[in-house]
Amino acid sequence: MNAIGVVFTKEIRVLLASPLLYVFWAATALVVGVFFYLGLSVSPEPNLRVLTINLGVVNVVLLPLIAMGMCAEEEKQGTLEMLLTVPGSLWRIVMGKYLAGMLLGSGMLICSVLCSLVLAWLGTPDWGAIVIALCGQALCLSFCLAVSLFASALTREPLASGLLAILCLFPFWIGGRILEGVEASGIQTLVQDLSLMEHLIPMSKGIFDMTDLLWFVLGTGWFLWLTVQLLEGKRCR
Amino acid sequence: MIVIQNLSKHFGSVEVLKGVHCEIPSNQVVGFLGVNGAGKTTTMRILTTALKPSTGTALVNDIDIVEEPERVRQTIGYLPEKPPLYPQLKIGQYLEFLGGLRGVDNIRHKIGAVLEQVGLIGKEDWYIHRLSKGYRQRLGLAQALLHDPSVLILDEPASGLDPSQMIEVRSVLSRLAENRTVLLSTHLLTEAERLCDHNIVLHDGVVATQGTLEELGERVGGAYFHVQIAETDWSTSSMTRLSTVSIVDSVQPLTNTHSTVVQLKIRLSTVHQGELLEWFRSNNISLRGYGWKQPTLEDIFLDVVGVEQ
Repeated sequence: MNAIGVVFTKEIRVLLASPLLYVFWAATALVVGVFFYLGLSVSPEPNLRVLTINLGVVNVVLLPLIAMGMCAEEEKQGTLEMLLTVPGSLWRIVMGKYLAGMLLGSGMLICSVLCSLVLAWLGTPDWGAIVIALCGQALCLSFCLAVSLFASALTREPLASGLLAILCLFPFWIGGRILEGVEASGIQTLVQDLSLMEHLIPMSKGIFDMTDLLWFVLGTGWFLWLTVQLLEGKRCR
Repeated sequence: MIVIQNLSKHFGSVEVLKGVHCEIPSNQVVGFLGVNGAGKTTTMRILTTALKPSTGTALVNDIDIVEEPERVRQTIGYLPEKPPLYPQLKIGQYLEFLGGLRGVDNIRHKIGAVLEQVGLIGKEDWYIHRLSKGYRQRLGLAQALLHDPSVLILDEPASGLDPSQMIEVRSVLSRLAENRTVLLSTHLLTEAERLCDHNIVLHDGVVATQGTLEELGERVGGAYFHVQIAETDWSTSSMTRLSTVSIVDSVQPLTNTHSTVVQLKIRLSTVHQGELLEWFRSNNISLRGYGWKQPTLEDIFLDVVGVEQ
């Protein structure tokens, strides 16, 4: 197994031992159930629009809870220093943690896939739109996880890093909404371009735009890169 | 061999290391001694590349820690004061993780070998959170040995161990030093005296003295004459009068281990102690015991760091 694989396996084992993961899964299942039902009530067409947007809130508020210990807890326990003094690129460590977080966080995607099957049972959904909405959920999860991992590398206190992640994610979430109604300007356009919701809403409706895909991919890559730089800074302080 | 060259380290305005300069010989156990805050852990963390020196550098097996930290990381095994463990994992899983990360070949065989070395063989399935402090220390040592490093840096490896665990760790370390350099910091001077071939005393961010026990002993004046006197026979004026004896260079009271006995460390200008014993007899001071003593590491340490006994 390569280095990313061993970090991935270790993270899965550590996270599975954490009660927070099960709280996250339970909360996700609850949110999925409630908003899937509400989505069916308000929309005449079978789709995942309401569910996708509200799972975004889960990503912003609850995902940091499972990611907060990924670096902060390691630093607190003294294991981060050991990892930093192992020869090799720190990308291996960050990617291993990120992929483990993606796997465990994707419990919500499984719930969404089950919801899609319920939609297929109830009617005739637009499968293209469903797949794009699921991709939107996965991309949102990926971005929020990268930000949470970055926040986790900022401090040695897991709880503080969790709150930091929520603070970092919140402007991305509501950024586009707070300037609604404000006269169009360069700043408004910039804030909306940087807003997570502005890129998630089209995907939740089944509209695929390469710009949205790029936003999520580049945003995720940027925060993972920042995490590696932070850890590199700790390696050579 | 490790060569430390004029190493200094500042944390903000606090200067922790002020130009550490020393050589650590190969295939020996080397003790790194000093009071809390002397700079032992900082020096060790710099050698492991966890910290960067503010100025100066060190060569680990001729590899510069500042210029080529990646190569240094391959040659060093490090056990911090608190072993870096994941309580959620089993012993085998933990070592598999670290071996995989370090790219150790034939990892299963290697894990078996290091577990045997540290006395944990057959315990791969034990959860780390259930291990005693001694077992955790051994596991910390196992992770440091996994990639077969030529230099082993151990920060307080005997900290918190009971006497039997300490004996076990001592025998493990002695075996390990047969083919590698072991640098260990400890506050347990008797342990260091038993285990270390070479000692470096760090004080206030600089190397105060270094060498073998014999060399260090010579540096603080070599053997001294030790006497034990009943407290009732002794007074401050006796001390003053004793200092005037022609062959007495200096007199130093030692820490009382028994409240009714005064112990004196007397440096004589000659190896013939007859005149001194005669002085005690003529002053009606009966001796509970006397004899020549080589300075222990504790004597040397206290002499060097200037702590009053």
